Amino acid sequence: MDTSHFRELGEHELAALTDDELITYIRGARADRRRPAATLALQILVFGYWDTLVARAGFKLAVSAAEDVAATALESAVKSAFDGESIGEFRSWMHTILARKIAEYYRSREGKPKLVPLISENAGDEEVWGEEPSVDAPDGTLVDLRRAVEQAYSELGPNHQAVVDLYVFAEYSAGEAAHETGESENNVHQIGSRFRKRLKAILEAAT
Amino acid sequence: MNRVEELLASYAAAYEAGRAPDTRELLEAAGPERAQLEAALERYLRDAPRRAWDAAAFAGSPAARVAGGIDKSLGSSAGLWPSLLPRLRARAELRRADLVGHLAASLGAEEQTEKVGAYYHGMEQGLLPSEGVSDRVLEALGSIVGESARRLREAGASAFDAPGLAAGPAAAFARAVPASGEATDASVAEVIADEVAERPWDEVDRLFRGGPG
Repeated sequence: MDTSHFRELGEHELAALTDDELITYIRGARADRRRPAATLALQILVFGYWDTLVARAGFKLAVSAAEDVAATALESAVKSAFDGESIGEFRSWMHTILARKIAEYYRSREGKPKLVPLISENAGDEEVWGEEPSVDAPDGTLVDLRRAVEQAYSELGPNHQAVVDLYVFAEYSAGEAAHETGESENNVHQIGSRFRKRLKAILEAAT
Repeated sequence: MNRVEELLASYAAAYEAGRAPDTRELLEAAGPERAQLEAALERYLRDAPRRAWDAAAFAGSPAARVAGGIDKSLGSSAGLWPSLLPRLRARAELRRADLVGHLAASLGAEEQTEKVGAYYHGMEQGLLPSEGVSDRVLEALGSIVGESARRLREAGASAFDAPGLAAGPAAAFARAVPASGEATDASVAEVIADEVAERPWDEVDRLFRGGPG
């Protein structure tokens, strides 16, 4: 669509556009200062995916959090589409962002499922994960654990962070995490395992 | 057709008819095959095409609020604040007046609550340039709505490509708020009057427009 010759479309015509065409249309409308036209196209795009995103997020999160995360994912997806940073088709990019946002939700909030290792039970890699204590340990152990998680996480590259986000923090299956990140299932297992080993090493060095 | 396929088909039929079925109920109904159904629903939703436009269903829906926030963010000098801040306030179950009261108190500006309200209005509406808002304001606001100052700063800096904005953001803030009495906060007019009269900034002005430090 040529944005330099913007032509305003009716509701039915807009509804028939693909996602990418809608985004191009919004850009064109804004460039031409046709705010209502841009707004309608944006509404069509958001409405089209809202229920889907909330439902998907709802598998992992409570309803209110699911709506919050879905909204954040939509904002990011639209923003990256506008910035030219999205990868591939809008829909699959948006779903990838949703998965990351779910993981970020867990990681940014204290005490999410299986986030915190229980030192007394860390006989093996897979056993170091347990439920978070309900209160901070008096010796500050919980704070140290969070720092260790941050350190181990920060040592990873972006795609391995994405795997850890999904597979370790958001408890996606290896298959789901592989699908979202483009890694093989085997790699997902290995990345998750290495992350846990690294975390364990950091914790042992600190105690 | 097995049980999972049956439940998935019923979900798909309802979804394609424009409804948003409760997946939790469906998963409960799956019993021991819950994980299998969840995986099937995930696949279905990930590949589901964009829902057909329905203006009546959209009106007043949560999607309308989200679209409204993104729409404001598109032309804003405050990044994603127009989208994020109202959502955080709703999550904290605070009316704007209550939030403004808490914010003014946190900043030690109880006597200038209206002015703080005008600035906060500018933040929510994307009229106040985010780079002018101090860390102190973001820390106070973050503690009220349960979000980190860092995330607030990042959201404010997440500027969309906004070709419609040609003038400077401060001018946009002043112009975009009507001085005719239609302003959401009466005190916005006072802020604009200060702007027009080029009065020296006070502490509240510095907090909201003087930059992060």
